[in-house]
Amino acid sequence: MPDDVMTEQAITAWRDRLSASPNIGDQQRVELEDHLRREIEALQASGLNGNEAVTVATMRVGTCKGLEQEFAKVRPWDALFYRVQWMAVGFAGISTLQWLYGVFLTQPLQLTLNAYTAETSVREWVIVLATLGCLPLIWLAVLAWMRSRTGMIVAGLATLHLIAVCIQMEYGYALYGRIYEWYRLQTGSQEWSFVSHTVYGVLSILPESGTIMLWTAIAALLFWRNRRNKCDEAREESMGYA
Amino acid sequence: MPGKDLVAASARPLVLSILQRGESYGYAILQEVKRRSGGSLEWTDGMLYPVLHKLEKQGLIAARWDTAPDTGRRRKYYRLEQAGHAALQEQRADWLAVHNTLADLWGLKPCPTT
Repeated sequence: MPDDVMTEQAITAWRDRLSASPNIGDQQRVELEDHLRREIEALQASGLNGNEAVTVATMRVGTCKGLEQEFAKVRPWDALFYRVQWMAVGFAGISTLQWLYGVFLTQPLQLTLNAYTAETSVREWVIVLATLGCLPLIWLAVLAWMRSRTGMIVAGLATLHLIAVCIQMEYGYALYGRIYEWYRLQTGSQEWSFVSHTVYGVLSILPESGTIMLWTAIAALLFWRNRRNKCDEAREESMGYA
Repeated sequence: MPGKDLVAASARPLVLSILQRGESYGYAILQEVKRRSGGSLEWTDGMLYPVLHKLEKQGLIAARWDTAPDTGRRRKYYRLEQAGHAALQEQRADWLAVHNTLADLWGLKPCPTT
């Protein structure tokens, strides 16, 4: 393979690694790439071949992790917002999965267990494990594997969320029952009407739906903010100043 | 060879001093530091850009994008702003004060402070 082609491939690979960093924007990447190319040209002029020049130049410019740390010092909030953005996406995803799992699987499972099991405690354990079990954990494992630090923070938040769900299961429904009783006293209704069913249903799913909406809104806001920053950068660059 | 902390601390006055002499860009600034220090100041190339961006954010220097005449690539050029001149004077007074104190202790000739 010709020397120039290998050099270009190595620069592309370096650029791709740098692109993955949340702390280094498009402008910074272009600036660093120009620097790297100047360094490579100077080293090639001094007698090194393309491969050697790329190796030395990338070492001099710094590792991606080192550059990321240096750039994070200038824009620490951007790095934080980027992490929170993906944490919000992960958390909204986990909440949605839990919600879907609860809606579509818990009720049929409960009905099946009602039919075949007289042991309430066993039935409850199975429902809890089924609802809080494998799908969110698989999601967490994938997140943790993809972005170790962010994944671990998401895992921590999700654990807190699961504890909140357990508390809700223990005490929440009693609260809904009291609210429903209050509703019946106010309306004078003695029967489960369509309206009371709806009120009870909305109250039952309110915490989960609220969680999903809250985290989706946070994620959307941060996506919008980070996208606007990138657009501003691109516009400033096209106008010739930064 | 100066330690890491001293190299980091000197980055700001060095960049401001180089830009006082005229508009420049990252690679050229780094080469100028290497040349003037005789290679004794070992900067990691990547360390320079966060310093430049911080100075830019503080309004001490300004930047513009242009096409490099030698390569035809997009390049970011930096120049010193009015606030940068004032900051450089402060830095100069601080560094000369340190230098002269040490020179006095070591029995060397102090530098003029203006």
